[in-house]
Amino acid sequence: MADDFYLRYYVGHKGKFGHEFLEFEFNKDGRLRYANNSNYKNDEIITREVYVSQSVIAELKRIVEDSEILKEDDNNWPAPDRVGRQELEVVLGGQHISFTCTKLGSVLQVQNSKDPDGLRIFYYLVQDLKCYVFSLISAHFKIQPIQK
Amino acid sequence: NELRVSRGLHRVCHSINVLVVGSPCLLSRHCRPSLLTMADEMDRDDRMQAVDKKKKGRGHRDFTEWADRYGGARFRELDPNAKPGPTASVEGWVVFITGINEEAQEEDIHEAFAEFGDVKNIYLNLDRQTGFVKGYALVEYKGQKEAQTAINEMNGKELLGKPIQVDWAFRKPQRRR
Repeated sequence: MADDFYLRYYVGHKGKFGHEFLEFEFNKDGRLRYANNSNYKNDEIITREVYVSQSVIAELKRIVEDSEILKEDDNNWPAPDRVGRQELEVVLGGQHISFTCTKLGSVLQVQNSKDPDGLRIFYYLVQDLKCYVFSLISAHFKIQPIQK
Repeated sequence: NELRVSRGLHRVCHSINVLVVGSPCLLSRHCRPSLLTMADEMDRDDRMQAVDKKKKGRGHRDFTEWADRYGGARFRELDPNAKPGPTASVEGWVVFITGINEEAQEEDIHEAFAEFGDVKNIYLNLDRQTGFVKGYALVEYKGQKEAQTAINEMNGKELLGKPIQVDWAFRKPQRRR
């Protein structure tokens, strides 16, 4: 179906504090699932789920389309390793991308890679997606500590 | 509202070999992790079988193990029993705005939306590469009526010379029968 849509992002690593990861997923019905896991100080996984409106999904599609990530490929991106792993899976406009990459620490790492232009698109899109999701999740679930 | 099933229930579901609804036992084949894995079994199969889609990327060949990540965790909602339609957030009602001029500032948003009620919170994110406003914002009001009025009045209006769209941010899903 041409109007099919799905987006999932994961970033994580395994280490001293267990499998620490952040993952979120949107489906075309607007179901947003969010998970953040760490065993730091024996903490447990945080999960959240909320349905967002079609306007929110439309804006998400616009952000993804404008980035032109769908024109890219992860062939020449640094593969996931001990440092960490990122996954971006998107179904949009008849395409289904599923990219993997190691964690990206800086623009310098992007610049020195084998595909700096493509990787830079990924690098900034991921930041924009995180901003989007963190704002939605905070607005819906987070209690403000200080009264304005 | 336990995130993890109790050990007792796990033993029961094994001993009587019955599908226990809601039991997040991922070790046994008869216990299906219904809503508990990030990608529902059905969603994942749909995506994989979508042969009309052009596929790219290493992730298609290098699968992740969902059970490995979630081992039984549920996804927490605010209020699983709310009626369909727009839904309240934890402390108010959140309105979603798009089409915002890239030079807008938080004060511009506040000014445009304060006439409908007390604005409790504003999120106006920047594009991480350019530093300009990304184009969307979230505005929170205390009451549903204030938020609904803001949506009715501001949807399609101009803000700093550009028309904006205003809608609810969150809603309840249609109940499946």
